[in-house]
Amino acid sequence: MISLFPLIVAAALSAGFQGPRAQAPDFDETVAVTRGARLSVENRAGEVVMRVWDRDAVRVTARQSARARAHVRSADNMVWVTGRGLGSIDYEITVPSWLPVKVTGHFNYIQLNGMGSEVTAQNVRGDIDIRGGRGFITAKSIEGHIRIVGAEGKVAATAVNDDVTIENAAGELTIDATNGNVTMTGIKAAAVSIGALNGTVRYTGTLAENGRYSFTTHNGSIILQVQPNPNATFYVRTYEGSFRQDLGLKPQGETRQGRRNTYVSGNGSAQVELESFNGGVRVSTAPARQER
Amino acid sequence: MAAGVAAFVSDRPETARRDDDVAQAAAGDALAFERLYRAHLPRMHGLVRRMAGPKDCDEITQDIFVRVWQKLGTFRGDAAFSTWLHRLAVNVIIERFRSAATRRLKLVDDGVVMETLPGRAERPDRRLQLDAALEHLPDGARQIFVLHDVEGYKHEEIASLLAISSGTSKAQLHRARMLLRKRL
Amino acid sequence: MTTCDTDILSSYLDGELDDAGRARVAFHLTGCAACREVAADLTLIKETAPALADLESRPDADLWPGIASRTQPARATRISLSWMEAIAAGLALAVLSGGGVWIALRGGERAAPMAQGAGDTGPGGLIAVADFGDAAYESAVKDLREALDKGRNRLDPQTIQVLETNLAAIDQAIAEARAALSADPANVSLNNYLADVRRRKLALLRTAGELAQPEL
Repeated sequence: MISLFPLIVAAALSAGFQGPRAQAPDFDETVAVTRGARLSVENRAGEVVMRVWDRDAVRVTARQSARARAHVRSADNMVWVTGRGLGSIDYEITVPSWLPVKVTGHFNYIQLNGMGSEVTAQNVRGDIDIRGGRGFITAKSIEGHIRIVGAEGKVAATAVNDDVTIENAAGELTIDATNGNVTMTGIKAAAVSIGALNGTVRYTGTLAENGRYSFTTHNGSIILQVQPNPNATFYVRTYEGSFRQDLGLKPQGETRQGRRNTYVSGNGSAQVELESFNGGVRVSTAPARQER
Repeated sequence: MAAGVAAFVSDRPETARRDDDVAQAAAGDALAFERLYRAHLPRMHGLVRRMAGPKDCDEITQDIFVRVWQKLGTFRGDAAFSTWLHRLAVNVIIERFRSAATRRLKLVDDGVVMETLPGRAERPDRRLQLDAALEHLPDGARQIFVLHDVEGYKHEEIASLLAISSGTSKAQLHRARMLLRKRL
Repeated sequence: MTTCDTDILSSYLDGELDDAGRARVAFHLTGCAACREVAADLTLIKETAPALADLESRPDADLWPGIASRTQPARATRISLSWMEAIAAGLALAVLSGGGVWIALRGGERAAPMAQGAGDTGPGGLIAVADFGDAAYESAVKDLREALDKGRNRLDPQTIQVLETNLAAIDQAIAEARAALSADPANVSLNNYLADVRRRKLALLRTAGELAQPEL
């Protein structure tokens, strides 16, 4: 018998609850698609989880809240999935990997798996998690963590109030975070532009010959981990922080705090801009420790 | 109306004056709105803290009163203002969790790991002990426990609010109670 | 219950079982001390819980200033531009701002690093161009702000707060960059940097304005 709750023991957060997933879907429609088709999903609130299969068809299943109704329409090589009414809808959509997809909404968790074509995902509030993607891969969220894994092509991600994580990407990358960190690992890209305001920028990848790279943050550090002896020219500027490197880079001319200082490695072909206003810059070939 | 919510109906002497404040605030009187805010803040802040935890409590409380200002024109006066306010507050809290839940906080239950709080203190007040224990519940279980056991909502109402089934609500309530019960 | 499955206890205590179920559980409890203990504990929790509704609390700081700032009547909007025109103005301005340094806006690409062999000094004429950029920039910000204010009641309070917080953070960064530039006015890189941060503000205002538009 409990008397006075003698020892209150906290349960760890691993126990959650199975929300809508515990319910069976109450919507299930499949439409055939042919090459050249595109899919657009608009969901005001809820979830959109996407997977791929080897059929030339789009299967839409959903768990609809009391006042929301899913609707699928196809015409002119477009498939539209939209919701009617208020309330949330949790979708599970299975698509062919060649199908370009666009998912937009307001309060959504978006998870797209095994994507083999163009991907656009946009949210006001909610995480975006994209696995795959070929061609143009675009993700935008005001409040939500953006994670993109295994994309190839032109990757653009914009997060206002959360982090961006890019893993194992190749191609051209343009990432922007206002109030969040940007972390990129396993990157093989010839053009990278990362901008952050309040956040640390971490980049682990190779610098390609003649590649163009730009890393900028206002409040935060820039931590680069690249291959040994890259052929690159580094333009480094910090106002309040320091610049540290273990690549054996040689400065060109006199270095001055607050000014753009130039360092060259090898033939200097890749152009690498590194700028932190209030933080430090570190370039290394070893795992970097957190700076500042 | 759920019993817990009915407890909000005020029978204090300043009820009539408070009703005037509601009408004036609905007409755009900022001073009347501030009086309403100050009168209802302690209960609202407590509700938010119990349902949402202490972390974003102030922010959510602020959101609630901003929503009150925006929606005051829709208050018909056919129920007590505090009842209307309470329902609006619950909606704001749940909306917040619906969006926060998109961060995959809603995890599949794969068992409970026990963890001892350091510096455990014996609290003679059972209410305070339970209140403190609430903070350590997972979000979903805590919400349902607060709505059902503290605020008196029925499972059907909770299911509708959270877009889950009654069965899930019942299961989660039991889980919350069992987690609260655990001790060495 | 044939085995000690306590999952059913809450339903039993809440009176949600049918007669047969209730009888089964009651019978089990008569013979199982462990389950009786659990039931007693759960009952205590149930009975204590409603009293929590009376536990009031207060925030550490007064929330009223924040609430007041978000609920003040919207200032009269003199929309001189439609939001599309305001966005176009913002883009055009971004081309001009930054003291004459051309900034490409395609997909957030940054300007090519200026080919400069020597340090950061530039011709004195850049200072005059930066002054011109200030006025045009402020005008574009004002127009984008008005377009956003017109539609902000379509945004939920949390989103508005997030946008405002981030706009304030950008303003802070702009102020810091301007302070650094005033101490080193011929610093071309700083000029570039200020232009970049201003562009960020315009982009966020543009995004916010798009969100505030009625859904098509």
